[in-house]
Amino acid sequence: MECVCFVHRLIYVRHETDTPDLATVARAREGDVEAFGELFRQTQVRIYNFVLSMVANPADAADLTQQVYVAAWKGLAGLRSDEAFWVWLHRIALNVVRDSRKKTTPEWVPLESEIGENEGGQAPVSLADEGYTPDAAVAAQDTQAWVRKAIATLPEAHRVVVTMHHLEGMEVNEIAEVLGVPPGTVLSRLARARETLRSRLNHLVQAGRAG
Amino acid sequence: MKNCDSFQGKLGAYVVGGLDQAEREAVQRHLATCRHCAAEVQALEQVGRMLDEMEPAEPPPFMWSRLRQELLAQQASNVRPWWKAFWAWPRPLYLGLATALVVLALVFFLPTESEPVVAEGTSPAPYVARHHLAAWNDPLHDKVLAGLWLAEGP
Repeated sequence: MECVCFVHRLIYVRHETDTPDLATVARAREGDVEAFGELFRQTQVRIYNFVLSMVANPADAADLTQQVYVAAWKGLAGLRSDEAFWVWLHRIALNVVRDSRKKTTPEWVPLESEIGENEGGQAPVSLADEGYTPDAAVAAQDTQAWVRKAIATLPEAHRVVVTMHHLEGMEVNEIAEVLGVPPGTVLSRLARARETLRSRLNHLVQAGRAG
Repeated sequence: MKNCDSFQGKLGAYVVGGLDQAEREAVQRHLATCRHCAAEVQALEQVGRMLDEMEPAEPPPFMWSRLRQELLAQQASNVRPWWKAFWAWPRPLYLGLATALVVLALVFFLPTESEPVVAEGTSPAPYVARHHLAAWNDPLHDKVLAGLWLAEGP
């Protein structure tokens, strides 16, 4: 099982920031649906997780991810050859999610303003509110579920950068380019998110020290 | 401990590499003397490792089949009519096409001889008949024919 996870990580997660095969992109641009399918298979896990970090609901994330690829298919002709494919695709995803919010919730608060001026806002939800106890979690050794739960309680802007940096392996500059913010802002959000997660995952940290 | 207060707000930025050189060195000097903050940095780094080890969520398996159907349907509805395909040609092709049309027009429609419409002492009708094709686009052509008809008499 560990071996499978390791291979999975090699394929999808760690530092997979290189552009997909240019020949495949070129074929897709000419209208080859199967070539686009190849691009889809190479990128879907990252884009789905990126969308999921913004909408939280897996069903909505699946629908929106599909919309992202429909928009990418239409916009493929406009992709400049010198443009980073991942940045381009993430920007489309960001726009699709924002557009969906405009349609459904007019009172939506923009991503950048959610946290507040000092970038140090805390989400109102805490893990203790969810009925979990540290002992139970440690006993179950379900670190993944705890970490996922803790990430879900972060403010959206923090959750997005954590997903892009840690799950997708994107560099700070790439994240900044996608979100349209300075790299310093991305680092600041990563730092605040790390501090928040450290306090929420304290029981796992303590268990790790004891182990 | 009072000294720690000024550093604790920077430890998150320290572990993610968000401090400048001077701040980073100051934090490092403090960590060398403060076990509490050093332990905090270790905890933050441990959380970073937990995040790095996170498995991404798997998207639903049917996504591509749905998407493929939608793209094929779009492609079928987006078949362009011939005139739109014509407008999609590269610009130099339009220039070439226009030039070719002008040359063709010159070859076919310009009179090749400069002889008068009616030569002296000849009957005008055969001449006009001979040149009928060459003169069809002459705006005066029908008037010339009417004049000849009147001159020859009904």
